[in-house]
Amino acid sequence: MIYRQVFDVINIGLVILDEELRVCYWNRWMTMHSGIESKDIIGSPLLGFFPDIDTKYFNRSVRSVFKFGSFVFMSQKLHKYLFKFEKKVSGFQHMQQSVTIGPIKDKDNTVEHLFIIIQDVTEMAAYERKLHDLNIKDGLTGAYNRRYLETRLKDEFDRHKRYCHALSIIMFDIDHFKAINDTYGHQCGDFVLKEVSTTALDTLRVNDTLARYGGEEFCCILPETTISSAMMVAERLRKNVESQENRFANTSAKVTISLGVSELCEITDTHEKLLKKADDALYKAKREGRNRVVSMSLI
Amino acid sequence: MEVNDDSTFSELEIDTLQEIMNIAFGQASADLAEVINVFIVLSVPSLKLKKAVSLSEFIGLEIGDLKNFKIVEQSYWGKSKGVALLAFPHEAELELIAMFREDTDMGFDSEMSDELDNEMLIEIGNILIGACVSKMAELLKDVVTFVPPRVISGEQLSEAFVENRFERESRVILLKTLFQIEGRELSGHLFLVNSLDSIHTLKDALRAFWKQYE
Repeated sequence: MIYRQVFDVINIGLVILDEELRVCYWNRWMTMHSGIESKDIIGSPLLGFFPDIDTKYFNRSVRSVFKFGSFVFMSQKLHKYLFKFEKKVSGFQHMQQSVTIGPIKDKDNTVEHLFIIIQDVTEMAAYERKLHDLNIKDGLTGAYNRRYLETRLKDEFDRHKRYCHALSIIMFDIDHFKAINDTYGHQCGDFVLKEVSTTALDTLRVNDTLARYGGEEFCCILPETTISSAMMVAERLRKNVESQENRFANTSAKVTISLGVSELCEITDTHEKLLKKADDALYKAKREGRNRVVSMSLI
Repeated sequence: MEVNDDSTFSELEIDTLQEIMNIAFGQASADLAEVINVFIVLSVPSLKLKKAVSLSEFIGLEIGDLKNFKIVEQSYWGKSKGVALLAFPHEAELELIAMFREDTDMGFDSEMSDELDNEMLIEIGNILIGACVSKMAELLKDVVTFVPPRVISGEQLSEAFVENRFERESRVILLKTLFQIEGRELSGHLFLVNSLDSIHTLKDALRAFWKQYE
């Protein structure tokens, strides 16, 4: 087949399978990335070489191509990749792929073969991820930014309200932060912000969200959490921050935090009210002498 | 079969087309049950000839509460060009996603959840639209190529949507069916809009279909 000359130089992967999923064609791009020579794989079942591919999703996709003669578009966002090829690019361990599976019809319009086209989209996915992070994260602390917090809080609030699940938030603020900046300089202030943020991230669960709300103020969203559990998390957070050294250029800039906690209930029937209650509790903690946790039930 | 006017369809041709759709959708739902283990009930399709310019408004009225709908939109090319719109209300969207997610071996990143939900809808839409359009094409002895679908919100279904695809004043065939997932409170609309660019080819295909029964 003279067209193979083209198929072997294009910068995409091309595989052709028969109904038993045996490989009928394997282009050079596939050899380059898999290390498997065309002569070694042709005639063999694909899944024997790539057992990872044998998923419910892949089998469903293949069935639908043979059954309907329709196409399957596997997006990188959802599936990351089909063939597990190593490629380390900014945070990705494997080549990110955009994959199309489609029918090859014979003269009678019956589908006895299918093709798989694999595009390497790792660089694009890395840029996209970088852009996405820039858009939602605070550059200094690595916590989320306020814009993301507001969107996320609204979504979580709506979801938890709909399913009548518990949802709490913690607002906290570094005590006397201005004094840190004035005494040790802004670089040290930035360092303290980063350290507090790291401690908070280490203290919270994976599903919790930490965002820098402004200046030295942070907010945590705790899904599926009642206020009594959130108070315990807040207390742990307070203790952890209090005990950290924050060593910066031979000085120890120890800090404490004040925290306010609120939960979704009848009086916090909007996400704005939930935030306001936590903020009010935080200010009560400040007024009462700082370095403490206050629940919305006390205001 | 009597054909007088080459620029439009006779009643018999419309009936035939409707019958083909009916068979196609019946086969599609049977095959879908086999492929995705879900039985999808497709209602008897209705067929209308419309001016492209009036499409968005018509579809909007058929759906009703557009604001509460998401639409998976997918273009395809065969002997004529067409676009499929699969519209479902927000509640159905969440249930559909949950249903298919069980079947997809992957974790979900909450940061991107909206985007991933859309990607899920695209995949679901691709299967349903692919099944219906391919079956229809098979009966009309046509070969169809699809472009990847995308998701739009109901509100984005504006006139611009039509203008990008069809001449404003041209006539199109609009097919409409309701789909429902058996055993679940889950339903939506499927619209297939086909241009009449190659009305002759379609008429030939209808004639060929008719001949099988003569």
